[in-house]
Amino acid sequence: MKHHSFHLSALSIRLLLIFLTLLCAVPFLVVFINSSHSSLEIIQKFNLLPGDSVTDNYKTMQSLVDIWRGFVNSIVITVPYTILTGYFGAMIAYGFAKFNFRFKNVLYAIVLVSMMLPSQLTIIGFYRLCLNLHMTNSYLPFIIPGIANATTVFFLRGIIEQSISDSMIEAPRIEGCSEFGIFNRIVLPCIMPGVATMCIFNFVASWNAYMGPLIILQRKELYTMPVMISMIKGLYVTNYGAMYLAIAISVIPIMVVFAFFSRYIIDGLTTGSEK
Amino acid sequence: MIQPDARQLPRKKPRRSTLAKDRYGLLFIAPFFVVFLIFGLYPIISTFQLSLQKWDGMMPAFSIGLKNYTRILGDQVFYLSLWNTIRIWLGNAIPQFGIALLLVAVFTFSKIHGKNFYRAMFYLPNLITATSVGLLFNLLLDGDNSPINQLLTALNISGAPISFFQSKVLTSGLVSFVQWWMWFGYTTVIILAGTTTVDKSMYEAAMVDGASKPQTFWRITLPLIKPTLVYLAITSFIGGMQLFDVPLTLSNNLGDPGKAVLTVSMYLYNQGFKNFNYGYSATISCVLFLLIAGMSGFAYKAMRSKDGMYKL
Amino acid sequence: MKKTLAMILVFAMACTMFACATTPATETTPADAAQAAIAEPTAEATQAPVDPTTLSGSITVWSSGEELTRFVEGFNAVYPNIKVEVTVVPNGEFLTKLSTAISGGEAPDLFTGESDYVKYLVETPYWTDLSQFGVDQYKDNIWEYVLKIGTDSKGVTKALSWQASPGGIIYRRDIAKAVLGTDDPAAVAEMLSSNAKMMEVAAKMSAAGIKMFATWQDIMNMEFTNRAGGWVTDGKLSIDANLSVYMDMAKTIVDNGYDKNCDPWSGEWYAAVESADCFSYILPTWGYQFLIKPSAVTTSGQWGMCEAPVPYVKGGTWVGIYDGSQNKDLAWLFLQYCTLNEESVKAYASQYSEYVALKSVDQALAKEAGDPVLGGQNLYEFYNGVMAKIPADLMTQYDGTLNNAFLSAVKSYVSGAMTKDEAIAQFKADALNAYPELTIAE
Repeated sequence: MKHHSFHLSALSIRLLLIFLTLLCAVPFLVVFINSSHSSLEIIQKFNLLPGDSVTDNYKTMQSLVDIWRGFVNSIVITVPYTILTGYFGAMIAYGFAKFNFRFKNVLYAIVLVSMMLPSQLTIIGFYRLCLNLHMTNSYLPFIIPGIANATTVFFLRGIIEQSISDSMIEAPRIEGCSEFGIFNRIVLPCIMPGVATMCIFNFVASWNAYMGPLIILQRKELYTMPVMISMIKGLYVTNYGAMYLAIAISVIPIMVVFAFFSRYIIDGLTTGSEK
Repeated sequence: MIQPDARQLPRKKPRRSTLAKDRYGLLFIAPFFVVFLIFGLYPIISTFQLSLQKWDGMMPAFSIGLKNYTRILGDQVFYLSLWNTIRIWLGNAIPQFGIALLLVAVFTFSKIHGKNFYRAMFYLPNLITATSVGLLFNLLLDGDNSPINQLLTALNISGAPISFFQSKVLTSGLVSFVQWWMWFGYTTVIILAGTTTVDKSMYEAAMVDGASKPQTFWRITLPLIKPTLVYLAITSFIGGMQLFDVPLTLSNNLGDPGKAVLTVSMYLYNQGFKNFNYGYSATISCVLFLLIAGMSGFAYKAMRSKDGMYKL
Repeated sequence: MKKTLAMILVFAMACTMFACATTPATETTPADAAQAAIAEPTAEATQAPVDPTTLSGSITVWSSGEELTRFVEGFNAVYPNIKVEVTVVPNGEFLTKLSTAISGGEAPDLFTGESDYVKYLVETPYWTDLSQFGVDQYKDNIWEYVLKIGTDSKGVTKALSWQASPGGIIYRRDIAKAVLGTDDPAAVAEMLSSNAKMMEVAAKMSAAGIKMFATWQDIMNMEFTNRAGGWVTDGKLSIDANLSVYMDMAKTIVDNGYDKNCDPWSGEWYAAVESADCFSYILPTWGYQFLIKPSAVTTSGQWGMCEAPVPYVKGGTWVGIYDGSQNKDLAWLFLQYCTLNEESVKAYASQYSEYVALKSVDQALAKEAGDPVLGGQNLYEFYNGVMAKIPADLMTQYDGTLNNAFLSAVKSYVSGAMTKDEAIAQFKADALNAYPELTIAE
């Protein structure tokens, strides 16, 4: 056995953490600082301090696209989508984790395999589908698939297997609790940290989704933020200032949501699975 | 929940209720398949169908059988893109898991003030779109007068200013680095979420038995969160094989210099949307899909069948 | 927990309902009123006098750039009841969105085509024949190459453009005076009248600490016109001998440091406009309009235009009417306004310093005052001179991919990663990989 355990000195740990923090944060600072500079300033030098072009950039941005409309549109899609992924992801994962039925492995294989096809071409088929369902100007094609989010199911099935023992389910069953009741009242609260983690991830994924909304949506007023940010890039003139401002505006709500959901993960650290 | 009268404790809990209970599983998983059948299946089938056709996106498609597949077997560019994709993924995944495991070990076993702050910071890079990240790093690195080059010149590093985007090795390394930057925090958070399921009493028992922190970590924590690690490994592989946005924005859409960062997804995208060979593009899609499915299936079985102290 | 869950589900359902509510079934109103108002939609030299305010309806336009949005206000001043909705779709995804829409059967009434793929669009049946709207009467007033590109191989004109993009050399007068002794465009053009002479001047500049070019990649714009034929003729790919000469020139430039070593459209490329040591950009009209003019602050008045060794055209955007559109007549009105109406085009040109496709407008603007950024030189006068010498158009539907593949090959060569023969071989391999049906001409 190793007598000489691998001791990381507190100092080196701290240095590592600080270094990684800087590495993560600096590009964001660049985005925020650049959003207050004019395009020419951004191109010509590296800016470390905020500039004075915020209002100019904002006006340019607003003249090219209606960014707040895009913001609202993004919220209307992303929030329901996230909730659906969390709730149904947990439900479907629970079904695979704690029940044994025929074809279970085949069905689970289908779930996993559905993530594996590259998405560049499926957009064409997806568009035709939306056309046939008369949904090309609706947000439903972006919200409803949240019910069938394979990544969430994959992750939560593992969490359920790790943290929910069979006895936790048998006991309420014996006492006459309904299956859905067990799910809603015992399983779901127990795996909340995992669900919250997936919700954050899915929120970000949906918020940043670009190709789908660009191709499917036909009316400008329905466009989401990533599409609008891309439109600020004119054909020849890239107005960097306005673009950075739009990116900054797009990132802030995600950061807020993350901060909010973080709490649930923290609570999980202490709660564990004791009941 | 109403506590039933003890006298009414049902004695009839035979096989029938076991079967009925298991059928509930089907009910629970049903929503996935309903939605998948409506929204997910058609695009997948149409892509498979397209792989057997020749289509330029505008004129009607017509069937050419397996010609696209024979073409891809001899396609050197496809093999190059496959190698690029794998290389970039490994350059990203290995440091990513390394750092994530290190961070989780540190967070679980050492007293660090502000764990939550650090965790939030590390997750930040995952919040902005890959395109924005590509734009940002382009700005920071492209050209002799870019910020990074100015820094390197000021520090008198030999070879500065470096033309990052003219070097195959550097560009490829940069793509790996950006991917790592975007995902290491996520991996850390996921593993942390997984470790919340581990009973603290396990650690105490281990400590009492004289296990050191590293031993506890490797022998107890990790095996207990095996499903989470399997999830991470497989989704990382899938994501890595499908890598598209970052190399696209960091190179000039062609994966230059010298196609060093042309990934399979970029190649299929170019074949379809730039060269109007949608049929062949679909074929590349399908072959990539088969490769991913095959490798993942193999890895999944291998990882789950290794029985640790936990029956999965 | 139950309450929160219930609230969340209710909120989710509310949002979904809100999402559904924002989906009114938008049909573009068929232009019945318009068709009743326009007496005969055939190629008549005289138009039936129609009161523009009676024409109503709405049309959709997809554009890969923002220029068409600039015409909407003026258009509505003439036709107040026709609603024009222009959607700017980023150029990178333009074809994706367009072909997806067309394959589904739903496309906008008007859509643009960038020079990279306009030849491809023209050959498809998705842009409608414009002769039914009387385009023939305008043809004499349009610069030939613009018209030719919008015409398919059967001679049917399907697309027009508001702009023409001839090119020359945009140079710095102050540097020219200092190093060459003169800043007169004709004199400078003489000194730069061949590739060899350009290299001589580059050496002189270098000795004076000046970079002759912003980047060697800009010169490719010119070289693509310096060929005997386009990339592909009769399904055969041919590489013009002049391109080989160009590759050598590019290598010389890089080896001797004659350029600023940046990429087009990068930050440094923009910044070089104002730098003290960058002499010239070899770009067509849009280079002046989008790069030099907006960026030239301290260097305003110090720029000039002179002719390049080879007069060339590069780039541009064309617009056409979707063949399946329900509103072709209204779409034609907008198309006409943007590309054929002398008044509107002239107003646009003067406001944005754009060189346009209508000869009469360019000739009229040549007589007006010059541009202060160019030290008083009149760019219309200059480009009119260039247009007179433009050779036949050489664009093909393969240009988008082949131009990029060639640039890639040249980059590999100048950076030393490949020899010239390897680079050319790589280009041929890439071309065949993209278009397997091509063969190589010998």
